[in-house]
Amino acid sequence: MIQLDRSLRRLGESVPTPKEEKCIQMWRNIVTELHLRRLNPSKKRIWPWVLLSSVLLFIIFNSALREAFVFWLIKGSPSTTQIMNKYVHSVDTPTVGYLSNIVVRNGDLNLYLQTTGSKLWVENLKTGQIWHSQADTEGISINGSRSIDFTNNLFYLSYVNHAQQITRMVLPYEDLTSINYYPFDSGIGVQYNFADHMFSIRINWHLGPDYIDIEIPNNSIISVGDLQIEKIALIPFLAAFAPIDDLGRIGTDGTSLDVTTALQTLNKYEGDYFAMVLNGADQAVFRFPDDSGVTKKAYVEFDLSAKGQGIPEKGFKVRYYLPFDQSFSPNRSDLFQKEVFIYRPKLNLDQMLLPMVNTYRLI
Amino acid sequence: MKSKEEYVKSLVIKCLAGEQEAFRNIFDCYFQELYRTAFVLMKSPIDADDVVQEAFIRVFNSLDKYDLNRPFRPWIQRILLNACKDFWKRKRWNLVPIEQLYDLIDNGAVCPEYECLKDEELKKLAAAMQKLSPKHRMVVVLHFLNGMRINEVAEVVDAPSGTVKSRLHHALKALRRHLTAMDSSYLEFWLGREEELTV
Repeated sequence: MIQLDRSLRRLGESVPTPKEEKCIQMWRNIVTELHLRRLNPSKKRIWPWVLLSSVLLFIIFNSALREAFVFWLIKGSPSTTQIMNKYVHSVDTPTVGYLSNIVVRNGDLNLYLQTTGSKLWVENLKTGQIWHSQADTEGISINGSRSIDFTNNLFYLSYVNHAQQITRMVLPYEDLTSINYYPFDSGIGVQYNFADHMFSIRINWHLGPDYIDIEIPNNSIISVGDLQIEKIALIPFLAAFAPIDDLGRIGTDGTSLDVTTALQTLNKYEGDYFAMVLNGADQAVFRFPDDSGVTKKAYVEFDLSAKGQGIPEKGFKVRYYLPFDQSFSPNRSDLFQKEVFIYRPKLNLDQMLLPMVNTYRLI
Repeated sequence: MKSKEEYVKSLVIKCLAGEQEAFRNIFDCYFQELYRTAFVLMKSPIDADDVVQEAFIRVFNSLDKYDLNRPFRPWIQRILLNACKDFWKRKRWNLVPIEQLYDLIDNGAVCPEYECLKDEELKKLAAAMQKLSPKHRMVVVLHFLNGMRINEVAEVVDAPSGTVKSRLHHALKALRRHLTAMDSSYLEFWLGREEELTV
């Protein structure tokens, strides 16, 4: 095995290395070929039109097979939404009129994807609450209730740079160069690509019967250039359209953190942002799914309950999973007590109706 | 210190942003490796040139479909293999067998850059390689000649790691068989290592 391995490697090494001139010539050929192909697109691109025309004629003359052919056309069309068709189902009577696609339905919750942007929507069927992920620049009107302009409320990013300084950045939506969607059985992953900023990040949304898990998968953050992101705190926050007075109280299981205390600490770092002040007993609970320490995962959980305004007190939970590296301290409880912060950006709360904007950071 | 993988991904992002120079850098990073793979797979340096050129064109046209969460190296190798397969389909294997190519080299009829393949052992090994099925040859080239890990090879050939290991195992056995048949002197050499020919 060793000898054969060595001989095979020798064979690989014996392949002649192309000379510099050959590399240059090859590069020129590639550039020229690319240029020519752009000028003279392949004839293959013509035949789908011929096919389409033929199919259209066939459909006209054979209405009985219309549905089958439309299905075949949709399934065969080489569009970027092809992968979505497998998972996204249309809703007969969408409660959220603004949306067209539902990704997952589970229990009392619906998760929608707004395919014209990167926004995810969560509908609580029991309460009628509608929540959405990051706001964009559109003015939105839902069921004629409110029209909210989310100008300047964009993709928030908080990270620790190479000098161990906390840095906050807002990436405008118009800088988004592309968005990739990765549907899976219980939800969808959305990858934001900011090519100009040389930054890319993916967020997974898992929908449970009464909770939403928001997770940044390992190795899903790609950053180059000046960002030098050591650790990241992303804010896939949820904003509500239904009026929410405050966060609901969470049970006593898990390790509790006095949010107000943590926020005071945070203010030392983040002078430009004020802390989220929750009502007296409100707490965020930090849970550790695997006490053995094998999973090395923990999350911050919030209960998005509705109180007042005649809305039944039946909310759902949102769990923000923290991306961890292997250096995660075994003393997780203490770590969280000291180093995870919750805050919200300085916004006009009355106008924006943002009941919570959560972020977390692990130093 | 950025790894090559991270560096290439940054190039991909730049390339998607419209920087042609970034694609040139990607070309520089992978040209040698792809050429080596194509050379062994295609049996002819001229065909290797064609396939590598086609592969880079496909890479450029498919960059927007590349998933940044996935490793780049298997992705680009897979594109190359697909280009090779398409080439084979077109040519239907009507190529000069590599043994004959070496004869031509010996006669001085072909470019002198293959002088290095005059090594007897390598000639036999190369000839034995050409007798492998395409599937077996691919995994051997990727794993042994390119030094790719099993899981990377699995990603390139779109098969489970276990399948790749199995193919490698059978490929090595077949190689041994071919070598043994070619030269009785190899019989003695390889029989003693029968138990080692497991992956």
